[in-house]
Amino acid sequence: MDDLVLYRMRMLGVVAVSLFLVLGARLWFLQVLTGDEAAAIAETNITRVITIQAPRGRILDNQGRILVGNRVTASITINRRALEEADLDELERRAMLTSIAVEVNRSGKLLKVTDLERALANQSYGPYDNVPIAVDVSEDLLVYFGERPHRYPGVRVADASVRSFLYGDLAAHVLGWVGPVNDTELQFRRPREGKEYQLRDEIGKAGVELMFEDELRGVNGRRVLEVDRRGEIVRERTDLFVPPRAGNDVVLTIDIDLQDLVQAELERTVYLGRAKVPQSTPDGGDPPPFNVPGGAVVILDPTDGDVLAMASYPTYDPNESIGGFSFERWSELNDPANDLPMFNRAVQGEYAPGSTFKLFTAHAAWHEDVFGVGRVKPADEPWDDPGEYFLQSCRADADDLESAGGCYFKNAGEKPYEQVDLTRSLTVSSDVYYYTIGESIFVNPRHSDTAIQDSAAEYGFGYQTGVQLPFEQDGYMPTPERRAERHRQNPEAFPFGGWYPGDNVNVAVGQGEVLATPLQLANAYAVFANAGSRWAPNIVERIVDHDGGAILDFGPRQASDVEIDPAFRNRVTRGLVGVVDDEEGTAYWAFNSEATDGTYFPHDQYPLAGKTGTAEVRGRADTSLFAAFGPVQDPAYVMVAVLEEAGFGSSVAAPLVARVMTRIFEDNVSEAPTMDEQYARSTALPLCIEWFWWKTGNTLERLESIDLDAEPESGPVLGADGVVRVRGVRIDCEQLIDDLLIGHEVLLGSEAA
Amino acid sequence: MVDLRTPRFDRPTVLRHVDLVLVLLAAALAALGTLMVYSATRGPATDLRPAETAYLYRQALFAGIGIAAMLVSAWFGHRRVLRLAAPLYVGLLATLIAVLIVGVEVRGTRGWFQLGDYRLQPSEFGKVALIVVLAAMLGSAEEVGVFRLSAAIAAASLPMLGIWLEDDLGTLLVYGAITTGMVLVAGAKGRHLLILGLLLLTGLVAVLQSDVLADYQVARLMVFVDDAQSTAASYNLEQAEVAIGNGGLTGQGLFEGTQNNSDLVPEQQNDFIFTVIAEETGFVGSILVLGLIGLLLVRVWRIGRLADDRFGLLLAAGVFSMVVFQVFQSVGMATGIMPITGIPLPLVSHGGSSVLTTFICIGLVESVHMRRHEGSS
Repeated sequence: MDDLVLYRMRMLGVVAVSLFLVLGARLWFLQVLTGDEAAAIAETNITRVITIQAPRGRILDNQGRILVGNRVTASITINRRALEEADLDELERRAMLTSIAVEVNRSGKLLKVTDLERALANQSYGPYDNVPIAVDVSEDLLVYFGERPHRYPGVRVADASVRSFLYGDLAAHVLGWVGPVNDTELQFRRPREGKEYQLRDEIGKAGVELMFEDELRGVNGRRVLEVDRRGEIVRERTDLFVPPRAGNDVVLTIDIDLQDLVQAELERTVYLGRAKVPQSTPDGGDPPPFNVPGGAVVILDPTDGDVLAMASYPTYDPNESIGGFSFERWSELNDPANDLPMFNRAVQGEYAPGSTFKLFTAHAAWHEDVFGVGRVKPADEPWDDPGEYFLQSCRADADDLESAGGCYFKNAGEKPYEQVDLTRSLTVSSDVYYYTIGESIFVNPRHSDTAIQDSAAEYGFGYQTGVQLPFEQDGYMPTPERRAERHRQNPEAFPFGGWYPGDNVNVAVGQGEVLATPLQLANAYAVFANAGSRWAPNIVERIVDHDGGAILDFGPRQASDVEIDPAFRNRVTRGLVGVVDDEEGTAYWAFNSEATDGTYFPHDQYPLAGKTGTAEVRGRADTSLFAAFGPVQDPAYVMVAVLEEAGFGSSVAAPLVARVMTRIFEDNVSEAPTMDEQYARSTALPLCIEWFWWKTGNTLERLESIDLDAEPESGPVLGADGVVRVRGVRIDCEQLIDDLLIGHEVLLGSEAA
Repeated sequence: MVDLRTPRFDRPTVLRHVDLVLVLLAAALAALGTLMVYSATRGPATDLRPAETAYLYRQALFAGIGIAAMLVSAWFGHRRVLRLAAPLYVGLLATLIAVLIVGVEVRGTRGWFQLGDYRLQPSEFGKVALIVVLAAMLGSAEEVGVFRLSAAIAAASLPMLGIWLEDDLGTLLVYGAITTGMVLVAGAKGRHLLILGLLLLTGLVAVLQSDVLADYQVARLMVFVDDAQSTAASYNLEQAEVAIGNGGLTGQGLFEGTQNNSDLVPEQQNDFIFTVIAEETGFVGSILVLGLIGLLLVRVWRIGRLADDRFGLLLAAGVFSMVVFQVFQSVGMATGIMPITGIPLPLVSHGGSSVLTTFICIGLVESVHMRRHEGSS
């Protein structure tokens, strides 16, 4: 063998050794030097994370009753991919969707084919996603669709956890509603650690659900699955399992029983108000009708600012939001023609407070020493109110004050009052008394021009109260500066920048651009009732974790102190008590008669103070207002009722307050029924009546009435002890019949005999 | 006990010179390969789904047949094969033509005969023929002149053209490597090799520039050059590298490789078998496997040096070149330092033709060792 060949063979060997060394080095780099990075990638490569939805926190009332919880319900989904692969033609597809809609409707949930089409066209779902088309459907559908996979390709019925508003529309505006998170929320919300949102996660959209979203939302858990390249599950990584953590519970200051009473009475008042016919005006013109499109009631505890009840009419059932409002329903709820049922008038509605504002004008007059100066007599000196008031320069919008020649301000109905002092001015609601104060404050250089506005601001007018509800409005308190500023910024919309005595006169009686929310008004009265503490009202008392451990306790939140001279407070209180207890009082008949839709209020036991308000709204019927607090010696309740386009405060709002307050003080607030209980009661009623006749009838009839061949019926079952069970709710017939018979004993008693 | 190292003069010379280490190394690698093929194909076994064993049995069968073939070819002897060089070459060309006509296409390569449940890849067996033919041509004279060199290149080019038509880039490269290695060792003159190298380079550039290569082939090659290429090929490469890195120093453990179990690396029982080895046995195991192959190569190389004629030496050099290139290409591709072209890891990858071919080659090399004293005695 020649040397060249052997040399070449060695060369080949050297090449081979180098190649092997390259491979070894590369392996060293990949496996030892950068192995950790690869291992991390490998980890994510084969694991699929499945999110376990954490239950949302509950919302409880002040006695711990669950107002909002969660329940498991069946929902129908369609898998787009499966539907596509089924390769149906347009007619078959249409027939299938129609058939789904028919089955869903048969089970008791309204679903239109157009809803289905819209859901399937929703671009936020991927081509492989299961698109939910109906949430909260009957369990029967599970079986129905489950048995017919070929007729309904891609249709699946699965369990889903949804929000449950147990009391239906009770406190709907306070609780709010939930819906799938949208793009804007995804973009702007900064969720807490671990509470990040994924598309279509549930998120609070209004009320406490929105305000306390971060608390209510739980921390989702996760399951980690190992899958192969085809996505088939290999095994579960139990070591990486993270259990979901339920959201925190929010405890409200609302008493749901009281809320029930207030909402029922508010609704009743709206219907009563609509039935009234306005008196024709003295000049024979057609007065605007009492449409009463809406109203609001707020009850506060003046000792700590807790909101005990907050109602807004019209209302809606937040359960409708489950699975998303249907397109039509959403338009309906947001159409002004339907008076905006989702609008919380108690904190978002701004109304002229009318005469209920006189309290604060009086406060300004007393504390600015207006009484006994100039045209204003001392507070205790009675003088005659002629029923009208002439003002030299009345209106801001008159071009030429001299030629305008002044104008008259009149009492309601131009009614004259004799011998009016501070106390009586409130009882009879003398406008002239306050016109005088209003003009004097502005005209007399000894007084601050904005004394009324300043005292109103002390009571919280013009500022949000700070209640834990979203979208609260400021109200509006006009001042000379604000008007000038507004004119300067937008002269087109506000052509008049000047401020005249007439404006002050208007402000003095809570008119002329003065606006307040019902909650602001209630809170202002609470300041007076508790002799000077202005609270930021609490509608949420505290937040507790899932096991009941305290997370956050709001406690009373004092916003400021208002100095109220006891002598002033004493006089005003007497005047306000007179409103309901003095025969001359504007609300006397609401609190001392049932003919006015009012009640016989127990004045001796629980002296009450109140003030009517009738605020003029251009082109519409007056807003009817009433503010009250009681018992006066130690106020525990402040209540404000506002009804739009309803006429006099004394005839609509006052009777409403009278009815509610009477029930409260007589300790006669009945328990609010949940939706389930309401359903159970209505279902049980026919059975209970049967049972009642059976029980009151004679023994022989009893025996004859037993039908041995009768098929046992499904549905509610009546036991021999007079207890009906409907879907797990126990209805005691004795109790139910007793409730019904109150006030109807004669009728039934005679028939039973 | 029989002391194998003591010469036994009562036995025939041929059997006295058996290189047992070579045989044992080849058998050990085949056994290891069978195990790794099983790991790559068993799938994640669960209570509901038992491990897949079809590949295991097939590979074990191939290994068994392979060992038998190795023994037969060692017995048959390389000298008798030398006499069959011409018919072997003709047979090779004939089957390569036949496979283009009646062959079936597997993974984009039209290079397979379907025989019942089994598929035969003639281009694999062709390697044996190529090595024998080249060794015969280059070994028949002491000097390798221009004429002899050109004749050998021409002889190698014909089957390579056939494989080119089969669209089997990987095997083509192996043929090239075999030819290069053998021409080098045969003692071609330096200037001839230089000219040959320049010609090859020109040809390569021309091929890459022209439309001869399909887009996917260029894409696969470019992945190697350019990491930013985002194609299915780069995905394969990425997953292979992740698998290898995931092995770390000591590996995930046999059957425990997550990349393997998730079936994330394509062809992992075949061209990418090394990813399974690397992931499950780690750096230590990878180096051990490469070491085993290295030892085998050392034996082959040593036998070449010990050969008593040019034919035997060139035979060993051809087999040596073939195995070195296949190992480097297969492992290099999996580790991302070579372009993606499907080449099996000798003796380890799944596939009967490849295993059989390698065993036959080893058998012939063994024969060189066994019969190295025949000429002189």
